[in-house]
Amino acid sequence: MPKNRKSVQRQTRKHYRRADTRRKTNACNQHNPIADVPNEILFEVLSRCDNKTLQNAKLTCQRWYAVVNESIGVSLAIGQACYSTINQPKVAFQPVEVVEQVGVNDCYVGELNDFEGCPFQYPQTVRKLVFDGPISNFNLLTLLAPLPNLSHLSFHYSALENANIEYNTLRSVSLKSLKLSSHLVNQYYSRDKAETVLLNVITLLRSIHSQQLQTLILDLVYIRKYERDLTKAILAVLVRHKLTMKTVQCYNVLKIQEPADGPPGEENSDDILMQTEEQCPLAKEEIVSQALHEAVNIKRICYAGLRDMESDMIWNYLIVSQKNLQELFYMNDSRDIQSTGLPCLRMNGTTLRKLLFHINAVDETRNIIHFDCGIFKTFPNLSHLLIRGRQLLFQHRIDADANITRFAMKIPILRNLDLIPYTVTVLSLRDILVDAESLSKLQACFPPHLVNLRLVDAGSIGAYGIKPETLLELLKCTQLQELEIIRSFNKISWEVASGKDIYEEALFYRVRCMWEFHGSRDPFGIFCFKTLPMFDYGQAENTLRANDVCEVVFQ
Amino acid sequence: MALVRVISSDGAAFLVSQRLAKRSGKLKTEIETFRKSSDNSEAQPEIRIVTIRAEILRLVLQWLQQHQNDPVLPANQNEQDGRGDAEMGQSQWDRDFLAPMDLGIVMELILAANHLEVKGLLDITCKLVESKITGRTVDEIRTAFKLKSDFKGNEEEQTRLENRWCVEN
Repeated sequence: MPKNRKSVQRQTRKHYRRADTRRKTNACNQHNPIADVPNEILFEVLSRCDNKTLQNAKLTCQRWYAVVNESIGVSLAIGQACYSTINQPKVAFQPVEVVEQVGVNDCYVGELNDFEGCPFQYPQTVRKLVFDGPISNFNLLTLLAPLPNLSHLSFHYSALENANIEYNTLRSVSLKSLKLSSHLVNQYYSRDKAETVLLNVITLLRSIHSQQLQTLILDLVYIRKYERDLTKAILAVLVRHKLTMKTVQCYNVLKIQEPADGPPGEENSDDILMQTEEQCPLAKEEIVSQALHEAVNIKRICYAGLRDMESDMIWNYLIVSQKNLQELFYMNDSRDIQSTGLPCLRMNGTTLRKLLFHINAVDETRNIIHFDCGIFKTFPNLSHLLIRGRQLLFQHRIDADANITRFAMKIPILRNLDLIPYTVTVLSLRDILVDAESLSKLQACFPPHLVNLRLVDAGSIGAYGIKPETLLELLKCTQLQELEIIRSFNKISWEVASGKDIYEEALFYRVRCMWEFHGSRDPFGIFCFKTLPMFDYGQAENTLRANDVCEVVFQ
Repeated sequence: MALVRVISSDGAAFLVSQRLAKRSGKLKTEIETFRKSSDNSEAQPEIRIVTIRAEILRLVLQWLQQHQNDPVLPANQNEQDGRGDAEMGQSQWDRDFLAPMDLGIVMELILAANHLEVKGLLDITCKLVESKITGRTVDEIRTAFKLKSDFKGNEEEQTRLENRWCVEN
């Protein structure tokens, strides 16, 4: 018996040893199952580790080094470059036929046609796939099908134009994030293509059953016909992944023209009717109430767009019912804030940390909106507050300075700024008139954590915008690390009255507080201060991050 | 109940119900090929597994028995019981099952699970090994896995330098 066993073991080892010559020289004399695992198994284990761990693991010995190098970090870009994603791959695009890399981690797929088979030698290492350009349905499916560990999937609109997504296409993969981008798609985009894409998206959403979906980013083109189905599909995804879902972003900033032969005027009349819950048929759907009760643990919601009243209302309900929301970015450009935007601020705000809110200029009756900051007292943990009004074109800005009263009719007005929570660290106000009195009150009892203050187009006549004396007081405040005042103060009247040049005054404070100053003497008064980087890094990083967030959303 | 004889590399035979055995991809194909090749449908299939010794085979069968009622596709599992990914497939029983094993046994178990195509077992064992690597330094990994550094001369230093940017992040 023991003899038999020994021979079998030898056989076993032979079986495992394959053609790996390097291993043969290292093989220990006694059977050591740990050092002797075949490469495939090592691969299986190591491909689950995070990158930092892998860096340590690869330094243990040459074989591990080789395996790790295969299992991580190789980026690949195949097909023809399309330049349709915002983040271009760092590697050059190459033809599919010459792909030799093993251990591809993420792969950009550009324009691709007439290609057969799977380009990856080790399909199990592929985690991220970005479809960046037009691709035939066949190639889309052949690329998707053999990837067992795919967890991040991103499509550009053009990749779904020819696709025919079916329910079982993504059945076997367990996605962590799904993204759809409509970058560079404009209003001249063909309606037929947009419809095909949207149908594919709806099928895609309906077919996702992943155990770990965390992120859903949808950048869509609005087509009224499919809006209801789309909203239902999104909500169903949220309900299905209620335990893992963390980030939901839904943008919709482009509207394709409705066909001219459609019934005229129907759209508008529909919108006005949908103002109450009773008149909103979608709200009666079962999936909606299910979503409002179950999908309540999302951490971050970005909602922007031109959706119709009905979807707006559903999204507002969804936001209000959240229990752990930390970041909310709400932009609703085309509609009336009183009936669509404000309800979402009635949410339970105790967990909320970042809020970006877009206030539309006029309400239904064409009155100016007076927005009262007292509403934020229900958000006790707010650290980032970014409010944006209606964006004006540059030409209009000049007009606004010349004749503010004409434009005051279209720019919303912010009142009682001094009532914002004391926890705010970043405050950014854009394209919204700010009450000068409340700004000086804010300066008098300055929020103790505020490090980044930004006013852009906040008005430049006496009653709105920052007063020059308040501005100079702010400069004395050492806790501020970034102060950006653009077209928001009236320097002329102050200089006439006091006889001092405000930039000279500001430069005086610069010496004292070590500020970096980018001033401009043009009539619009651009005025930016930043502390030199020798100040607190951690805080500065915080403000930088806030800027990043801002840029991403406003892209 | 239809049975199948599974024989380990060192000759120990296990009588397993075919229903249970078919949860392993490898055994399933073996049983099917046996069916096709033999004329007598009543005959008891006998499968010899030359790469797995009795101790390990017993553990695999034990695990299979515990998980015999799990759905084969893990895709639906999460949806029904609503547990998160971390708990999924890693039940208390699994933890107790794996707790007393040393790394050598776990490695052999991984080999066996891979060979017999038992996805669930492969997942939990790989996860266990992964947790032993995560957060360790190079030397700690070497001791845990009984590895010897076989870099020549300053090769190791060079490798370290080439990865410095990743490590520091």
